Parts: sequence; C-alpha cells; structure tokens
Amino acid sequence: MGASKKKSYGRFFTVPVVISLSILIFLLLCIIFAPFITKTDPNALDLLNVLKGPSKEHLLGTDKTGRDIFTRILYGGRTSLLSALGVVMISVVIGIPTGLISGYYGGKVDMILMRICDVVVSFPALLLAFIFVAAFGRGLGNAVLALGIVYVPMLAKLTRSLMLVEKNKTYVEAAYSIGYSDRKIIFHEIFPNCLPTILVELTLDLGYAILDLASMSFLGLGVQPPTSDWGYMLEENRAFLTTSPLMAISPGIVIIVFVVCLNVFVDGVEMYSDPSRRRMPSMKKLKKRMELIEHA
Amino acid sequence: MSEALIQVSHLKKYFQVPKHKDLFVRAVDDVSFDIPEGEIVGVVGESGCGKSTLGRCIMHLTDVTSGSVTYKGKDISGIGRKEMKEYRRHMQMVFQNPYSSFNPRHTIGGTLMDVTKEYGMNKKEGQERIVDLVGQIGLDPVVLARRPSELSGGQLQRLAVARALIVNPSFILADEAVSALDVSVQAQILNMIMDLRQEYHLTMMFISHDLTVVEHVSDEVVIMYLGKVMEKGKAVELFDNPLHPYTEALMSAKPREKPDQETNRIILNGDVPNAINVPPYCRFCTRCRDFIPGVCDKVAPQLKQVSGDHWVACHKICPA
Amino acid sequence: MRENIISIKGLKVGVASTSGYVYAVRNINLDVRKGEILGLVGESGCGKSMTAKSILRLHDEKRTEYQGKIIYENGKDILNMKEKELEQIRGSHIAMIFQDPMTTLNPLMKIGKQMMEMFRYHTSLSQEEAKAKCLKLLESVGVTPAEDRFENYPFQLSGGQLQRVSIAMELALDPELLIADEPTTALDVTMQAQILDLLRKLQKESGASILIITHNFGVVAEICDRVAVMYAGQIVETGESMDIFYHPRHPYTIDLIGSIPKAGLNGQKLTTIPGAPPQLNRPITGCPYAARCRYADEMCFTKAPDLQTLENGHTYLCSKADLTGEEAV
Repeated sequence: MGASKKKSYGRFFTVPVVISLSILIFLLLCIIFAPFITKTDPNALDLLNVLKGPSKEHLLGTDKTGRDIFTRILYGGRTSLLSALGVVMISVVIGIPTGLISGYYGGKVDMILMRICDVVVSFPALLLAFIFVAAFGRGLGNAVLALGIVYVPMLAKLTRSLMLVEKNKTYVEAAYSIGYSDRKIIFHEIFPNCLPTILVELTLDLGYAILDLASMSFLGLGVQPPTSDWGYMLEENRAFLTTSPLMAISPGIVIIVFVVCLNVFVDGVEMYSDPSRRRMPSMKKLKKRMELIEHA
Repeated sequence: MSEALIQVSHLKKYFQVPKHKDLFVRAVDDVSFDIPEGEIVGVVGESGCGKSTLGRCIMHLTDVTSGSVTYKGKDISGIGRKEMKEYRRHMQMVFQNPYSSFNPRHTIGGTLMDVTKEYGMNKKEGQERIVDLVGQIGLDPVVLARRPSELSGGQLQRLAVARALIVNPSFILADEAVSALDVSVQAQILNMIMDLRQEYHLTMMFISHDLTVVEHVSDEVVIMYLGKVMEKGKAVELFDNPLHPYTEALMSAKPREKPDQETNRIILNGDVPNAINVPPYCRFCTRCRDFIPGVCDKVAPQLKQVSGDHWVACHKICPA
Repeated sequence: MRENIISIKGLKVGVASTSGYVYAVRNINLDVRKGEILGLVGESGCGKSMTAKSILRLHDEKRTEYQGKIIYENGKDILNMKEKELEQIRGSHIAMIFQDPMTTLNPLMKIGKQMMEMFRYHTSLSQEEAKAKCLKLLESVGVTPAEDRFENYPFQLSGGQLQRVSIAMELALDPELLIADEPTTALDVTMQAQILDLLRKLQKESGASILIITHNFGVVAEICDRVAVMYAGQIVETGESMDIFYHPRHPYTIDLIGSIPKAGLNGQKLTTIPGAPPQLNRPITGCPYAARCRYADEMCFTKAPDLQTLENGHTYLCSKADLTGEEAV
C-alpha cells in the first residue's frame, strides 16, 4: 500500500524568520564568544577614561567608571540570558507537572491547584517578586527564583488547558483500555502532544523573563554590582541619558532587538506548524518542483 | 448453545446533570444480555441511545451506577483498576476513528511495542509478535516506522485491530469500528475481522448505527433506544421478523440497495426525546405508530420472550 | 435532452498542500441538467468535494489553480467571473449545504435572526414580510413549531433539525441549483431517510436541480436520477441511476457496488478492492484504476483510457469496451 514517506512542502525560512533567526544566532555567538571578540575585562575600571564617546578602543564608549560599554553588553548578555533561562526552567519544573495533573484528574485536585495559581496570578507579577526579594534578600538568585514562581501559574494554566483538550481524545481512551498506568498515560501518551504549544509559550516566556529581570535589576533588586547585566546597565547609565545617550540606550536596544527577534521567530514557527497558514511556494514553482522529483 | 463469555445484567449508568442534584441522564438503564462464547453480538441504535456508554461500561472505561458485568462468571464491574488489568488481557477494544485512536506523536511501531512491554513480553518477543500480526492483517512492516498522519484510515483501522490482538484476547469490543471508513475499505476491514475471528476464536461485541453492517457480521443483535433494550435475538430471526415498532422503523429507514427497490418507510416523527429524566413508561411511545393510549404511557414494558431466543419490550407484542 | 444548468468542461483543479502540488481534479466533464438530482459518488479523497466547491469557487484562491470551464446557464464561465458577479450567483442562484450544519450556522445567533439576515442581504423584503417567509420556510422543511424554533439558538436543535434549517436557508432564495455536500453523513439512518425525503419533495415542488456529493450508494439509490462516479480526480462513469446500479461498466463501479454489505448475505465475504487509490500529488499515466483492477492488462498502465459512450447516454472511462458488470449485481 502507498505508505511511502511523505515529503513536506512549504517554506519555513520566510524573510522574517531568516532575519530574526540570524540576528538571534549572531547575538548568541557574540555573547558566547565574548572573550574572543573583546580583550577588555568588563569590570576593569579606567578612571582616566570615564564617559567617553565611541572610539576605536571603546566601540560604544565608556561608563562613569571608565568600563567599556561594548564589553559589558557582551558579558551582560550572559547574565541576562542565563538568568532568564533559569526563570523559565523553574516555571517548567513546577508549572508543567502541576498543569498536567490538574487537568488530568480534575475535581478537587484541580480545584485546589488552580486556586493556588489564582492567588499567585492575582498579584502583579513584579510586586510579588518584590515581596519575595524583600523577604529573602536581594541578589540575582532570589530574583530568578521569584520570577520563576511568578511564571508558574501561566504555564500551569496553559498546560492544563492543553491537557483538557487532549485527555478527551480517543488515543487516551485506547491507552486506558490497554491498561496503562496514569503516570504512563500522562507523561508518555499525552505530554508529547502538548509539547509543541508549550515550547512556543516557553520561548515567549524567555523574552518576557529577560524584560522582567531587566526591570528588577533596573530597580536594584536583581543583579548586584559590579556584575554586568542588560537591565542593570540601563539603571546604572540612565543618569547620563542627556550627556551620553548612546551609553544609556544601547543596552536597551539590545534587549528590544533580542526580544523582538525571539517573538518574530516563534511566530514563524507557529505559522509553519499550521498547514493552512504555512507559506507555500507559488503554484507554478510547486508544480515544477514536483515534476523534477517525478523525473529523477 | 455455547456458554456466555460476558454477561451484562441490570446494568445502569446514570450521569448527573451538572448543577442539578436530582436530574440524571439515564444513558444505560437496566440493560441485560449475554455475549455467548465465540459469537458476535451487534448492538444497534441511533446516536444518543447509550450503546457507546454500554460499551465503555463493559470495558471498565467508566464506572457503573448499578448492575453487573461478568467475565466467565466473575463480576468485573466493581473491581479496582489493578485487578481489571488482568482482565484486559482477555478484553480489548477497537475504536471508531482510526486517526484519533493512535497517538499522533508516536510511531505505530512504538505504540504497538508499548503494549507488548506492558504485558511482559521482552523486546524480541514483542517485535516478533508485532511483525507477525502486521503480516496477518495484510500490511507491510514498513508501516511500523510511520506516524498515524502518514497512513490511510484503512491501514490505521487494520493496525487498531492488530493492537487489540497483541495480547491474544478472547473478547473484542468494536465501537463503530467501520463507520468512519469508505465502503471499499469497510469491506476490507469486515472481511479481515471475519477471518481473524475464526483464527483467534474471538467473541465480539459490535456496536454500530449501521444496520446493514450489523446484519452482515452479527450472530445476535440487541436493539437499543434511549438506554433501554427494545428487542434482542438471533440476527437471522430478528432481521427476518422484527417485532418491535422501533426495530421496524429502523429497518425501514435503511437506504435502498437499488433505485427501484420498494420501500415501506415508517417515518419516525420528531427526534429522540431528551434523555434527562425519561418517563417511567415506554420510552418510545412518543414516536410509536402502534401507541396504545392508557397503556404505553402508563406502564413500562418489560423484555419478554416471544419465541426461542427472541425478546421484545413492547405492550403491543406482549400485552401485560 | 434537458438544458444544462451547469456544464463543467475539462475542469482541472490543482491545490498547493504541504504534501506538494495535488492534482485534486483531473480533467472532468460533467453536466448538471435542469430539474435533475445528480449524485457525485466517490470515496474520500477522490476530488468530489473539490469539484463541488469549484462550482462556487469556494477554495482559497491563493492555493488553488483552475483550468477548464464551468459554464453557468447564462453562458458565462464561473471560473472567469468577477468576484461581484459571483456573489450574485452564490446563494441566490446556486446554494450549498454542508455535512455539518453546525459549521454553517452561527452558534451565537438565533435561528430566526440568521434567516432574516440573509433576506436583508439578498432581497428588499420588509421585516414583517421576511419573518413571514422565514416561518413558512421553516414549516415547509418540517421544523415545527416554527414560531418557537425561530427564537431558538442552534445548540437547542438536534442535528437533523439543524440540517433542515440549513436546507430552508439555502432554499429561501429559490436557487436553480442546490449543491449538497454529504448532507446526511452526520445523521442517523432514520434522520437520513427523512432529510432525503425532504430534499426530493422540495426538488419536485421547486423544479431546481440538486447536485448531491456522497460516498454512500444508498443515498444515490434513494434519490438520484443520474450518477457520476469519481475516482482519483476523474469521473470514471456517468449514467442514469438504474443503469449504474444494474449495468455498471467501469470496473471500479462494479467493485464498489460489490463491496456494500447487502441484506441476506450474512457473514459471507464481501468483494474488496485490493490496494489503495493512487497518490494525488503525482500525474497519472494510463488508467488510474489499473493497479487495482482485475481486468487490467499492460496497455491499461501506459495508455490513458478512452471515454466510451453507450446509446442511453451512459459513459465510462475504460479501455475495455466489452466489460459488463452484470456479475456484480
């Protein structure tokens, strides 16, 4: 019977995806290979050269203690991205199992878990993080932990709603009728079907986490000096917005570019995964391509 | 006559209407019948008559309100999930929609291997069993590497039957197993089921809304309406000599086989009534053409034996 | 011979899908005559719905490519019409009902309001006139009591009732052609019989033509005057219903009719068709059915079959001119 492997048509690499992906990769590479791009130490003070404009040695100038802004942005990316990743990881570890269990069992379990989530959601996210940091002390670790917990309800609710859709599908009933345990049904059968949507959400969360961490650091609750971090750099340099604007704006621009590119890329992934929205080649091209295969 | 493999007696399944403590949907209401060993019992009815719920109760996919289901004389309706697992070895199920009854994220091979693992076969045994079965259902083992979306409905439904057969069950419940398929594919699956039935000495329960299909495969037939059995008996007899007005109406609604075929349509007025708090008298009386005032809307008819194995619940056929 | 309401000439439809360029409809010719009920039968994926939707150009035009002509009664080619002209035809001259009435009706709007909307859009009837007409229509399709149903939301009606409502809505503007895409597939047999009876009755009263798309030969036997059998994007056989049922000529039709379970053949083996239909994303050389046909010889695989025409208008696409399907009956 005609069961040959189907080739899938349609373009994943549309213009927005290519542009956003290449910018993301470029930024990531710069951040990862920071020591090879710039030899300067991000924390090296140079009190003779404070608040300098862009020059050959200092591409984006220096800050009030003479540290190289360009270097600090590169190294700051490490802090920002890693801590954002930490936030997302924490929300995954707690949020996904919560959502899966809540959705699968329903009833009382669902009610209790979801009410707890509601309580967390009902506080403004940042406020909650502030309270957390106020209670356990400043520092990046606490900020990450706080934001991670703040992100849990969103993820849990998404996972739960996906579970509610999936658990009524026949394959779940089939799995049950074979006699699988609940654990196997939840994690082995249902979870893989929720994963694509969850991954999209997580990538978006990563963007939000960068922004939220930046706000926390901006308010002095996250990263502590002298560590460099995009959000913290904004805070450090904002006093000089009028005198040396580039210094204050450049970390902001990097944050915006990174987050926007991330969103555009995720959008592209979603477009591709839905056949009715996928970018198709023109009818003529498609026909020609198929004919070439036929002749080969 | 062969002994009953599965016995359903006075089975009830009520669903509570949300927010109304005293309102119930009586999906299955006091249903009793036997599934004799080696035979195929067809259960027919319109959508909403409770035939699928009945199947789910038998397969322990939902708990029952009261009554019992026995397998080889042992009551399995109230037992725990762990104990039920022992019986699942003997009782398997095939679902209606072949596309949704396989996990879209797993390969077919993966899905089937999981079943063998669950029932204690090692990897080699499992593989041998699966390749053997896939051959028996007339497919090439390459399908094992595919995901459900890459296969046709017919191929998937064959594989669904194969999945049910892995554990060598003695009973298979087919819930609308061929309803979603094209006629030519339906014929392939029906033929295959008949062949496998011989080979595996299968007992089956065949739930369908399609009278023709049920007539084709079944030895015995149960006609359901609004959660109640209206008529049951040997397929040959029941189809030759339908007694209950509902059965007659169902049969007359069958599409013609040829354009010039004479049909004597009995039009059922209106729809199936709401299944919430159904009346304590005959459930079919609102649409029945043989309605007897003062009797049918007063007393609920009991299933009564009219001949040999033929049972009917109707005041007209068996006056109280 | 009666005049044609729609005449499809050499229609080819190509669709861009994720599995590539799909040759969904491959060069079909089909006439829908005035006042007839024509059945377009075939198995899923054979292109029967594609053909029907092409008549109203309901496809996503960016992903679809048409060739050939669909000549409407007034001599104009639907495939070349401007969007404005087409809108005039859709609904008021050619109407379509679908398998699942839930998808055609707006779940958040009362039945009555939806019907009134349609009158407001297409006609210049006053509120009262429109309402009176709606109630009459509902009654004529057996949705009673019409006054109550008028105020109901779609979810309050059963599937059969909803299908009646959608038939009422489509017939409201007295279309000359009603396209019914699997109108009874989602319904129970008892309801199917009622809906088919209703369609036949309404057709007799209005004299409109009906094109029924179905996979079910039972539906064809019930109400169709003429049948076209489709396979792999081609029409392989057309003829009067009686002729197709008693004297099928194309091997596919013969096999297909043979594979329907029949009363009184309890437990006997059904005829089956080996294999599966060809993949639609490839051009076909020779006869599309050759690989599954028990009469096929070498020529069938290489040479496209010729259209054979019999005296009574029965046509079939097969190189074996001498086949008769009496044995299948």
